Amino acid sequence: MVVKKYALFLGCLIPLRIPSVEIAARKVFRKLGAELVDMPGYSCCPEPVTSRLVDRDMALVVAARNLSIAEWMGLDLLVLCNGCYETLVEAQETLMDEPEEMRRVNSILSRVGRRYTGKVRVRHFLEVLYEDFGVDAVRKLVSRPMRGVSAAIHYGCHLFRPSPGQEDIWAKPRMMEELAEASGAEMRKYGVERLCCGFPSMQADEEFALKERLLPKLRKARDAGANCLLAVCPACLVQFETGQTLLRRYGEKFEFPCMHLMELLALAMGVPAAELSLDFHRSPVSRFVGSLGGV
Amino acid sequence: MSEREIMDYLRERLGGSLIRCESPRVRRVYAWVKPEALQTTVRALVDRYDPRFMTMTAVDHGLDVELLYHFSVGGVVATIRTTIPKEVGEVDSVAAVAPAANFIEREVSELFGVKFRGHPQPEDLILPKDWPAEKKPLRKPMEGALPPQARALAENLISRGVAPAVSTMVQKRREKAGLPATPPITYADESAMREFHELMKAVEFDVRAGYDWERKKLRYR
Repeated sequence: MVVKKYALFLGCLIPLRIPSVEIAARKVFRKLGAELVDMPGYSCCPEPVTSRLVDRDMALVVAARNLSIAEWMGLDLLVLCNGCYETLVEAQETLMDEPEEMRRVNSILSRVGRRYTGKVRVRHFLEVLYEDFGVDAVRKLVSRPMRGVSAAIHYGCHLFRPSPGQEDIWAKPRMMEELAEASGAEMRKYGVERLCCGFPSMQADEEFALKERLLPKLRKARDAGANCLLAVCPACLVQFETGQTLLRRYGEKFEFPCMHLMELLALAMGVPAAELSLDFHRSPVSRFVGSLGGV
Repeated sequence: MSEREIMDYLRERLGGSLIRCESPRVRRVYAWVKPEALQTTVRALVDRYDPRFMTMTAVDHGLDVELLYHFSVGGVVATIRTTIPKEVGEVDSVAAVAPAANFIEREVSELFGVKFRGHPQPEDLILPKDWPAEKKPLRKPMEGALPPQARALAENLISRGVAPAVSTMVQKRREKAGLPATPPITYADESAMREFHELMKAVEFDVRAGYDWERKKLRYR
């Protein structure tokens, strides 16, 4: 059997803030018989909200350097973060659509001995799970269905960035729902799934971000009977987790456990909670998972 | 007198002290020089051409103050440009070499807060006598191009290649969780970090962001 290999682009927030997602991703793909190969010397994608506004040239060159590492490895680039996905896909499209930019960027990369020709496929982990393995293959590996989990899904704004060559902005959100349901968890509709979590707005107006973005989501999720929040973007997770703490300033108390889909799948595939180091989370994920029993 | 002749002369006299020199149109020459070479440059012009000092312009760019000394050299306006970091804030006066610069250097000193070393008469010129000495009316705050919200990110990105700050506590906890202390990211690999820094310099993001390579920090926060 040929082992599928992917260049793993970890980004910054996962390894530096929520490494339990990194652990979970490595374990899930190992169970699927795939190998995630680390990208040596990769950098921030760079971060999609501020970087491009601050300096488009810098952002494009940094993204191209990351793409060139995956191209040198000869592998598809797999990302675990919506933001990294958007940055890298958009850089790839710019470089392919604008030959003059590709030449200019390559002349800069050549100073450090790198070159990018545009051969890399940037893929969200949802696409890889869904297209290369299939929901059924994931479901077959579920040895501990996540009954007792009633999840409020948060897609994350950047997940609606369509894949190259596609126009269906709902393709990846639907993949997320199907894969989450394959874990045995129940999805609770709460009506504001698409609303931004407020992470980017925190930079401009913290009160707005917390009260007008995060708070409605948490209230609606609670009212819908969800007992945890499920995301595929580490920035959104950070916002949900630290945001709950910050909301106490405004008299709002929530204790929603917030998980990445990779963690939910790892648990469903029988990975013991202790191996995931869920205590990296700043929301009560460990306690919640412990309450499910048998994990 | 041709523009080309003036530029060739400055290149020959100043060597490495001349950053660059150009003539964007007829009868106009710009020469960018290092601050420590300002007086030498003016002396070189005076020695060779006996130019007429027209005036000096100061521009506060936020992190630096740029000084532009304009001379009429046989019908060509030659402007000597130099940039003073605000952290330094001083430069040699050219008033001894070009006496007509005496008043404008005093004016720039009191309006922008640049100190002209060796000025023969370092006194205020135009502000009222009771004006507070520390208040420089045309000096901007020490601010670079980045808005406050982007500064931490830019600083982390340039210095280590990542957006969030690197926490030693997380490194320890990563190890405890069975992961390497750092992911295979730029700052974990000296050659990758060097390469990344070279790219930051190649696209001049370090200059635009106002990054101080020695202190490994932005010059403002």
